[in-house]
Amino acid sequence: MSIRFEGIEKTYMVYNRPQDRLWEWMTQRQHHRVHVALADIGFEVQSGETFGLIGENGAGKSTLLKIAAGTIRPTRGQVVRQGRVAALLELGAGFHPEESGYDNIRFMAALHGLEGEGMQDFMVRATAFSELSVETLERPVKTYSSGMFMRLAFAAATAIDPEVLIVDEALSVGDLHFQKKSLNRILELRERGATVLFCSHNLYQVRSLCQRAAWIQDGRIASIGKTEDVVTAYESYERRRYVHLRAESADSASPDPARSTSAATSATALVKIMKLTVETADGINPAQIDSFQDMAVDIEVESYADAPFHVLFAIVRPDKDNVFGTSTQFRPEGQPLQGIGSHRVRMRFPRLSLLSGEYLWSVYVLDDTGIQVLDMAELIQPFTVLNQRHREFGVTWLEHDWVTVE
Amino acid sequence: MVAKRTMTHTEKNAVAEASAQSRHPRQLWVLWRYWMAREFKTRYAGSVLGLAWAFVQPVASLAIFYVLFGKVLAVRVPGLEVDNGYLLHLLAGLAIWLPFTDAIGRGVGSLVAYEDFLRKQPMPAEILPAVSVGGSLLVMVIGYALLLVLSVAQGVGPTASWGWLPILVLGQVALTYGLTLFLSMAHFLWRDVGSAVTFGLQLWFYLTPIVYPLSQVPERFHAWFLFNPLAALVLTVQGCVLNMPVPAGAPWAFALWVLLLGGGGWWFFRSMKPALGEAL
Repeated sequence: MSIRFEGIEKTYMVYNRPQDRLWEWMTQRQHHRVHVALADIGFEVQSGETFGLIGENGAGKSTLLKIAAGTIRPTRGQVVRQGRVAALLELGAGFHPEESGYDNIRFMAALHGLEGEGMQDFMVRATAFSELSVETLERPVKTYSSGMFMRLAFAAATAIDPEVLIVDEALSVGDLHFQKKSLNRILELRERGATVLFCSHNLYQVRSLCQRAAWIQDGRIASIGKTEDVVTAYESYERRRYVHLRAESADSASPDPARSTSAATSATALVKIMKLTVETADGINPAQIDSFQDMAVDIEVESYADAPFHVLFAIVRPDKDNVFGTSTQFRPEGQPLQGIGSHRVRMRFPRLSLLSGEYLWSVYVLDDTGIQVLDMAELIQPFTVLNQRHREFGVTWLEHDWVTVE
Repeated sequence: MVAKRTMTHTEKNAVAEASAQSRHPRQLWVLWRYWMAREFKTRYAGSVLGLAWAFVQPVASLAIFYVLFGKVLAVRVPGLEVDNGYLLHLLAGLAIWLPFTDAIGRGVGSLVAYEDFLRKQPMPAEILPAVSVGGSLLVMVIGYALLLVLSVAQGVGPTASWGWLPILVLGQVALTYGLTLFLSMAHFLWRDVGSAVTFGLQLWFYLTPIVYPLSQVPERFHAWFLFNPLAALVLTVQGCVLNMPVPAGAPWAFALWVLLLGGGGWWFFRSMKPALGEAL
């Protein structure tokens, strides 16, 4: 029920031209460059642990996941896997568009070498999880909507009841209901003691899911340990890099006014959403809020550049419908925020006229035009509103008068 | 206590290795069967005739060659003294050639077609050429069935030498699989192979005594035909089923070719396999 990497090294032979491989094969003389994708990777994901991999694009995270899944072999070292492994490297790889949903599930079961009773169990689990009707499952997969396809693919990928799950950012697909469901499925497998190795660019997700994490940088482990420590180290590295980039572009741009504008636009991508907190009389981030309570929301962002920006935020329902949204741009003067360092936006709702239900926040940082998104945190900080004093129902309270009742 | 602990450790390692390394042969067999089922279900999906195409195609090629060479050009087969001697000769050749070219034609591109899949899903790549070869077995069965039925109808056999057929068929499957392994991997590494194979198969067809009997070729060239693996097989089958005279050494040449192409293809595939998952 674990994955252990023992001194993994992966090098790729890079041939400039296809015939170089032929010459090498025939003459036995080296005709390639060696690209080191991973070096000196050794750690163990323990049984029942959820482990996150973070790092920049091309750092080697996906290569490591593929080695963990067994689609490629390490050049040196070995991976020791224990338990049934399911790899969610790409959902729906291997599905045949002409075949029905059922046949594709059967095929996935066969890929795991299941037959007879094992295949039956697999089918039952996959069809139940996919929530697709029998009529749909009998149709060829090419007639499915992308959402339906993803549901089937995820269901088929996790239906072997894996003890080890390898996930490559496959979570951010499908509609919200399904995203939540697939995340729940992973959490449920985790509850039951499954080991999860998981790679994501979404640091929020890594923070909330993983007990430990590793930061991969240039094919090596830059930091490994408790998620919070590793993610913080990675974030501060990113920050330093941005500041460095900004300083560089500012230096080179100063004599040339035309280039200074381009430096400013590249520097605009340097704002990060740090925190969102909700406060009521009951405290900070209360489990539930009463309708018409006095509520304040506090958003903290950090800017690493001197470029102007706006903060937009909205209360949304789980189905992504916006209930109420506003932006610093919509204020009477609409001046953007500016300056390196921390910024805070605090808004008070003196009488929160939401009625009973589940709500979430979405926060975006936009450039001064209000079009380009610099950072976003969608559907975070869920909160529950309870309408205990009134019998009216719906999403929100509308001002009203009973004019005539005859 | 210590001994017990080390034992469980090695046991665990063994389990881990088994799941990570080669799979159970039974699992491969299950996967191959399902893949074959998918292959046959999807190959003719959306067509009216469906699986009937598997019969129509070989019979149509047979008809074309029969009319062209047997009727128009009136090729005769010395040593096969029955009414439709040429038809039987042609059928013996096509029963071998059609499944062979079908397997190679589909198999060459099989690794490239599933390149992405191979990178995303851990599975044994050898199964892909095996599916191409498996897909050609239906044509093979149809071809041989026609050949045997017509031979009996024409009064040629059955004879005791028909007993060799299963071994020859197995040899053909092994040879085809080896060559498909080789060509699919070579095509994966060098895309020129696919184009060369299309042309090469055409040339190969006319270098094999299928539409013409070997006796039409000057005697001094006969030994050269043994350097053609398929010619060696076709000649052996003609001798075995139709009792035609076979150049000495044809069965041995074929056996050698099976070992050479089967083993060589397997070896080449295994030695180049690490290149499969890797694309930067």
